[in-house]
Amino acid sequence: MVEFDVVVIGAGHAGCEAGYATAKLGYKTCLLTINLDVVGQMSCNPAIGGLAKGHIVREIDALGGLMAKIIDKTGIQFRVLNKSRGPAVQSPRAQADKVMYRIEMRKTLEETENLFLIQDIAQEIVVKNAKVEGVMLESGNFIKCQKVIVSTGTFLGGKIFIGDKCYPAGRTNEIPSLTLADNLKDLGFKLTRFKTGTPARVHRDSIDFSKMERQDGDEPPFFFSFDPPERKVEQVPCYLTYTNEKTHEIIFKNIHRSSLFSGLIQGVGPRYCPSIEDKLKKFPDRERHQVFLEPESRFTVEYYVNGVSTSLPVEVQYEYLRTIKGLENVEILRPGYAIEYFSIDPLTLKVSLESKEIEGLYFAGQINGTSGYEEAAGQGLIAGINAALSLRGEEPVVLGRDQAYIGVMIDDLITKGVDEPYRMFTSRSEYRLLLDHYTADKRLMPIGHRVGLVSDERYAKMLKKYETIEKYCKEVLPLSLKKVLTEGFFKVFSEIDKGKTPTFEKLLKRPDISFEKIKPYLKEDYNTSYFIEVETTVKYKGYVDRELKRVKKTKNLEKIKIPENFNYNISGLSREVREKLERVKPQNLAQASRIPGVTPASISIIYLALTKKKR
Amino acid sequence: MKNESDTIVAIATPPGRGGVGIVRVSGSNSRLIGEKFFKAKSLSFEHGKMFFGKYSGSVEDTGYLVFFKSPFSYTGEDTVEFHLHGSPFILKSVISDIVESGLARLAGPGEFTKRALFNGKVNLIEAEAINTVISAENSYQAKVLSSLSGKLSDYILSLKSKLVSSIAFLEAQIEYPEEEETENALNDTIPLVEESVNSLKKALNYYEKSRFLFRGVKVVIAGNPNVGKSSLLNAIAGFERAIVTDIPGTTTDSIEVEIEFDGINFVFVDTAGIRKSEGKIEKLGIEKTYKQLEEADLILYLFDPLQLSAEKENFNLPEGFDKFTDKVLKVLNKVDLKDIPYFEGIKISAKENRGIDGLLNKIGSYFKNRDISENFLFSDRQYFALKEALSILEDFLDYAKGDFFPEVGASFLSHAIEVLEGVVGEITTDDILDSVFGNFCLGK
Ligand SMILES: Nc1nc2c(ncn2[C@@H]2O[C@H](COP(=O)(O)OP(=O)(O)OP(=O)(O)O)[C@@H](O)[C@H]2O)c(=O)[nH]1
Ligand SMILES: [Mg+2]
Repeated sequence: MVEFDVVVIGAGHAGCEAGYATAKLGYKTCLLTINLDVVGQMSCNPAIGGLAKGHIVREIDALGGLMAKIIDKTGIQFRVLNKSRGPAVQSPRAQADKVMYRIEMRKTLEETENLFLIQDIAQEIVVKNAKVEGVMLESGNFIKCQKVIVSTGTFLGGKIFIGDKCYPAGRTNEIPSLTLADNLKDLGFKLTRFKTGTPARVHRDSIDFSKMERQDGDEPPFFFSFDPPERKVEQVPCYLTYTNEKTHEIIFKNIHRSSLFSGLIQGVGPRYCPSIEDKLKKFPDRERHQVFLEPESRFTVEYYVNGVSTSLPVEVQYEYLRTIKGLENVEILRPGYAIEYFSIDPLTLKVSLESKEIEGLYFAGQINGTSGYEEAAGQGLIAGINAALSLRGEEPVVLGRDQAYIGVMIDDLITKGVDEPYRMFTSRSEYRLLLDHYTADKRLMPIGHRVGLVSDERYAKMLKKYETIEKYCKEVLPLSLKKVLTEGFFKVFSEIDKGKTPTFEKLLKRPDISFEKIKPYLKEDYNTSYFIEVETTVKYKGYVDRELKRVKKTKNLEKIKIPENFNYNISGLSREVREKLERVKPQNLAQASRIPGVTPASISIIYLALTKKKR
Repeated sequence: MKNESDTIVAIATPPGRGGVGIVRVSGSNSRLIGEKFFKAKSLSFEHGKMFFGKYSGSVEDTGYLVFFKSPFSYTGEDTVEFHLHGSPFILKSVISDIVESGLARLAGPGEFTKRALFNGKVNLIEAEAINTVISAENSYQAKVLSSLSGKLSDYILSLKSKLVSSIAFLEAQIEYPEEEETENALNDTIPLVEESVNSLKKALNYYEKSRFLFRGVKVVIAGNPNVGKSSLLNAIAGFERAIVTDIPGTTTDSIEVEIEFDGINFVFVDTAGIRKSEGKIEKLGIEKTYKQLEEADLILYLFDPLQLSAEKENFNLPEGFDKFTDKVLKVLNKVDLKDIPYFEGIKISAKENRGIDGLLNKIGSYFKNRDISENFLFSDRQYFALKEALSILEDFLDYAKGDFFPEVGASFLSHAIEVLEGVVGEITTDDILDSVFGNFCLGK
């Protein structure tokens, strides 16, 4: 028997963050992986970030997590999406070098004090008196511990489907975790079957890039981390091509052979990340779908064919891929496949991601019904932080919906549950303008610092940054255009009416003007390295205040706490509503009001019941 | 001694009307009170059954007792009703017997309905409707109220779904920047928002036309100085409410008189006279007048025949009245001094009390002839929420005219949806309760 404070089961994106956090916060942590050579593996597309997901990565960084740091070191292309829109919906995205990413992740974890990456398979989480005691491993070893974080991704009862073939696996040719699923069932968890998929990987030299549209990264690259590496990135392009009628014809002809439609697959897939079969079924009239070719690594010849994930038989995959412009002679290195796995019902979790029933047992990532690396990592970090805080005897960290997308995600999971894999969207937040990723550091670093994941030095740097920004806003924004900009500006932007834009602030408020565009004409004294933050303040002035007012309104409901043992047996509440409330056990009225099917009238009843005594 | 009982009692029938009078008791002591004061052959307190017998306390009276068991009563609590003879003396004695017994206390305004709300027997909108119905003094008003709440919910739902689909266009543009099909999102969004704006404007307008039913009518008397505005107010009031002199500019502040006429509650407001060149103090008066004019359901605009120059005896309204023309009634005063035959409006003499009844009749029918069938709002709370939603949507359209960020646009729209949802599904908190129950009457 060995003894650890914390055992993390699964070293994917959730597990790595969780293990890193508990170890960093001083607790001896065992990070279990089925294969020590693939830690932090990107099972699906070779990219991190993008809309809403990029926001999450920035939040992870502000809290002191790893994902941003690792991708900054290993990314091979960096781009900010939605640049023509406002700052709140811009989001960084990077093409990862998958090989380097996992090597860098493993290295970072191995260098972390108190953290031990161990190759073994968890067989049973040993629970006594509704409290975690340890983990029994398939090797026969028993680890005694106080906290267990389960982050098994697609490995829990994983099963792969290609056409009419299917075999148990967590990823291609990697063994899944089977006994643990039974163990969780025995512990009282209801397991749901979810499904996801991935497209084929093809040989670089079999692609005719000249027939496709090239997509390059931004120069200079935008890094995710608050303190990005000193690094010159040789950016690698991606390529865009399209499916066509011929492609669709072949897929339609063979659609009955897809494991998705032949009835083999039972699990529910993500609506937002559909297979090509799904896309065609849903939009039969669309003439074409986008296909991106993304490099998997600088060290391999593999390309990821983004947009055509599939569970069709391999020969059909060949056939339809070869109808696509530029892929006429394509060679498949690994076929696409669909994978089914178990997830638990996140309604059984507290907001800390700890099980409501079993003390010391936490869940994070895909097992909670989410999809995506970033979503997983965000939960992993929070589960890790909260496990450590609990060991310290402190209250868990709860991120507000007005504070972070991670907060929105966790609240959604534990309040609404999931009936399909949950993917983050900016529209899931009702306060999108408040959650721009540029200022994630301002909102979240204080938390990371308080907890102990963000160093004093880094924290001080952040405070200084916002002092500088505030000063700039106060001193430079009210100045006239003439004062701030050189003559050259007025020549190039001759259409700008100086009368209507008397101040620099007014100019920046315009959506067609960005700091980036006017930078060449900025007089030396008025340059700032934080222009995007300044711009955000200016662009959203007034609109942000509106959202803040709305936040305040829900905050009032948030203040009305519901005791954990509150008796929902109140007249006027229907049985359904009562059952829902009992299941979710909301912490306060605001959360209760977000439970689907719980009407405002029922909220009023609870409110009145809670405050009845006082009247 | 302060009675802390959670059981409440009140007379449930309107005061002073004959026939049966009902005393209602609600709370855990209801049954006890029934047992103590009511004698009947087999008083089993079966739910919903009427027991014939005799009330005996400081007075005696034969009648019925009805018991409603929790949670099936109106309030959701155990409830007892005494159906007795409607004499105010008997009913008041019953109340004081019960209160003195210490088993119940006198109910506050709207407290029965409030309890019904607390116990989930009615929702807020229904409570509002009950409030409006019971404060409606006559059947004309009550009739109008029927089924409004259903209409309102339907309306909000359809408006909401329109806005949700308008947001969807913007969301697609934001979330899928690389997709080709999301470009002209704004072109798809704007027409839907415009439709919503128009529909909201209509709804608000229906209410403005109908709200006199729920909160009375405000009639503002306006005109040049010295035309006899204060005299008219006095004639309507039937006593010297406002000071009348022959010096122009006597009235500087608004003065109100409330009367009930034809089943409608009226507030008549006398205002400072309107004239071209203004001294400072008067200017203040004019501003107040203007505010009154905006709030008015009807404006009586008075003309003085002696003030009209002989050649061009026109009856134009002064500048700034354009937007009120719909609600102006022109009145010629002082016809005892001089008549102007071709004036087609109402003619009166405030001083000699001539034509006043005719004027009131005309005002009464002005409201009664209104088509109020389209209206579906029945409280100011609902009205102001819709108004807020309207103003947010107008802000959106305004914003969309200029340079546009879809995420800011979406923020406007989702805010508007939130406000609309509040109309039908406002989570009841203290301030809302206060506003709903503030003007409730006793016994319900
Ligand atoms: N003969 C006659 N005189 C009237 C009549 N109505 C008002 N007056 C007189 O006209 C004068 C002005 O009357 P007010 O009622 O004070 O007029 P007002 O419009 O309120 O005047 P301001 O408050 O100064 O604007 C007084 O001397 C009234 O007695 C009327 O119908 N006939
Ligand atoms: Mg006067």
